Amino acid sequence: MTVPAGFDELIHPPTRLGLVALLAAAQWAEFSFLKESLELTDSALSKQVSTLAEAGYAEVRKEGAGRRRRTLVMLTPLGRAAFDGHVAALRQLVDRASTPGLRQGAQQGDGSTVGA
Amino acid sequence: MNHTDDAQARLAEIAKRRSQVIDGASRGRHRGWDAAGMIAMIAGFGALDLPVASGLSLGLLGVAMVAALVCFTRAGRHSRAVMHPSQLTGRFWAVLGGCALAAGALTLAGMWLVGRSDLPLRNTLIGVLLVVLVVAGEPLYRALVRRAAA
Repeated sequence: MTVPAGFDELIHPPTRLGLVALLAAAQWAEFSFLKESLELTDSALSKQVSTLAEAGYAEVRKEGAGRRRRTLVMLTPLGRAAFDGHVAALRQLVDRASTPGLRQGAQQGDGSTVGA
Repeated sequence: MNHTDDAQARLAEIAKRRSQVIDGASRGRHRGWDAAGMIAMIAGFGALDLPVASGLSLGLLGVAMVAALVCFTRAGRHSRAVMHPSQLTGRFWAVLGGCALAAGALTLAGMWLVGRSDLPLRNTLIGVLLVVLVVAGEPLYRALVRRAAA
């Protein structure tokens, strides 16, 4: 099955997709909020955020000082564009299956690997 | 799981995460700024009970309402997440506007009602009731916004 344009392998894994989806709906989100929402440990979330930051998809900013210090994570315009493209690709995959002429092609591709 | 099921599951996951952000944006607000906004609201209505010219008391009410709005906005900026402008759709603004209109209509009705009574500090009482309404209506507002963004 042909992978639709915009499909992003970096975003597709479930945990990372959850993280990017949270960030896409927000201007920024606190690290602690992301951690609780995704039910991840500090280190696991840090790893995911670092992967996105290395790809230029996310940005980390520290704000405040002392007890009020907080870490904010946000998507970059590149990350937002990648997420939008990925969502469009997912919708295209669903639409293909619901279009009678294309359903057969979609079923033939069931054995191939799209995403992680 | 085939590609279609996988894609549908991922799209459902994205929708679930968006709801979490809407929740996160409305929770964890700065309590101090929220409290200051509520006090400003009550003080604004309290100004209507002052024995001064009606123009002055209405002016004070206006200033207090602007101060309350600033405080509520600052409280929101301390949330754990802030909604992206792309999420603020027409339906979102319709819900927000509808809630504001309902609160305004209830306030006017309350003012008309207490205007017919001899209660002391009756306008201050309206301010207190409005604050109670805002606090009590928060879960309903959150549910409506979640539905509007779905």
